[in-house]
Amino acid sequence: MKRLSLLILLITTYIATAQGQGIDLTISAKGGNNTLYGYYGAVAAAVDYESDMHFAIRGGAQYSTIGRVAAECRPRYYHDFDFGRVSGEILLGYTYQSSLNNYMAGVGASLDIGCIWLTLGYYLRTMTMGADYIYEPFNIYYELGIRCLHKVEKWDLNITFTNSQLFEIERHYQPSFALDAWWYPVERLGLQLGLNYKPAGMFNISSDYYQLYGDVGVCVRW
Amino acid sequence: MRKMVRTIALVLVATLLICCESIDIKGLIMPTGDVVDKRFERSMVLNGNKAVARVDVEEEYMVYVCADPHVEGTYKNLRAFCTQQRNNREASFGVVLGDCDNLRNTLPTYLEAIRFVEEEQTINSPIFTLIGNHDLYFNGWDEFAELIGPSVYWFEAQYATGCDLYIALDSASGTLGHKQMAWLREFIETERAKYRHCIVMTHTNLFYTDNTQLGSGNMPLEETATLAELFSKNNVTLCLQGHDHFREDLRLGGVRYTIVPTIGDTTQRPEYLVLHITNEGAELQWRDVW
Repeated sequence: MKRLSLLILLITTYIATAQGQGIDLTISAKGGNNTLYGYYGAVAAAVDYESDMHFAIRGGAQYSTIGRVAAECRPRYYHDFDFGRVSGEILLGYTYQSSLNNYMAGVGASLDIGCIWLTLGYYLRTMTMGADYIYEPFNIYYELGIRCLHKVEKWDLNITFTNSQLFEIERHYQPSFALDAWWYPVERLGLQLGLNYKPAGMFNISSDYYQLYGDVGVCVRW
Repeated sequence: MRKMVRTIALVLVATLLICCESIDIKGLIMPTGDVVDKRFERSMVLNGNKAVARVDVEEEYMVYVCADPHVEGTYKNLRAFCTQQRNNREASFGVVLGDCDNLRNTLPTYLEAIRFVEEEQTINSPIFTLIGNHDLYFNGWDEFAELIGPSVYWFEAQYATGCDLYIALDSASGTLGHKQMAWLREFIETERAKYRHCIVMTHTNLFYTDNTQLGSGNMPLEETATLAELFSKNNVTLCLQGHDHFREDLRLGGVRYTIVPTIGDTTQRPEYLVLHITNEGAELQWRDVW
């Protein structure tokens, strides 16, 4: 399982570096509290590559101290219009935790108009444990984001409502709220600070606390 | 104009928050009663940290299971279920898998529906109730604890040479929470071996295989993985679930996961589940109410 995650990370990195331009490599660590596991931490590496040939890819891998391994890869085709960017993507994801394998595959589309972006997609999930498997065919993924400082140089402050953060593709009834700040002190270096809250039972209308974590990251661009 | 629109929107939101009788909008963003950890603590006081019942059964026996009656004004399907159970001499007890009521202050109507009616029913066999998300609306937990009892409990079905274990969980908020999960892990790991079968009952689902309830929440993925591994490693016989209003029978890691559809009066084809418990396990039989 860890090998598969590593493989996805390596493939993503290879594709990105082979093209040789517009690459972001982010190394991040997070720490938080989960209602089931108490305090926990995670480390992740992610690559984001964008070519000027309308092709981009984002992916990476994450390991969490609760014994969860996640890997994800999202190649996408984009086109810029006067009003913003429209893109279509393929989602490929994998997680392993507590003897349970999750395989996810889907397609989605995004509209990014600068201060706001919206992604909507559909994905399939197969869970396996031993010789048995369960297929979950009805999953929507979404991300609504607001760039609070989209006209400010060197700074980003984003608020997102999503069930499909990198490495955390949940079922559609399980959204989380994130606040992410980025600071780019020099051209090739960025620092990230984030806060994420995930309730349980929100769409049951009987919500409860589930998870809160913060993360810090360093992004290198070349 | 803008001011008028704003005023109308505010009045609408306030009306939904205060006056809606069936949907507790406030619960979308904050807990509507005690959080699950608090409910667990109170339940352990209410159940005295011991089995709430020991039902005498034969080595092979039947259990009647229904889910999601959502009682409002009427309860003809639920009453029919209770009557069919209590008129079957092989049926040892019944279970209602949560979402007992649907409106403010309708839990007494649910209790009236499952009451033993001497004129219609022959055997006063017990019916065990789980808590569902609808039972929490409008601070419903206090009423549930007062009128029904704990939301987390277990009971035994005892036959001549052994016992089966039934565990009722509180998943009404879409998570078991820290304390209940820690207790469940320890309880199953230490107690499971003493019993022939172990049947776990929860309102919300571990898996999301159909979309009849659209956005209605179940458990987060990490919780699904944790529970699936716990049940698989400890040889849980069957996990019964409600909430989804859709019949389902799944298997993962050697454990059977069965979702029982709604028996509510507004459903077109109300049905329930009859379990035939034998040495080999649980056989399932679906029955129409009418």
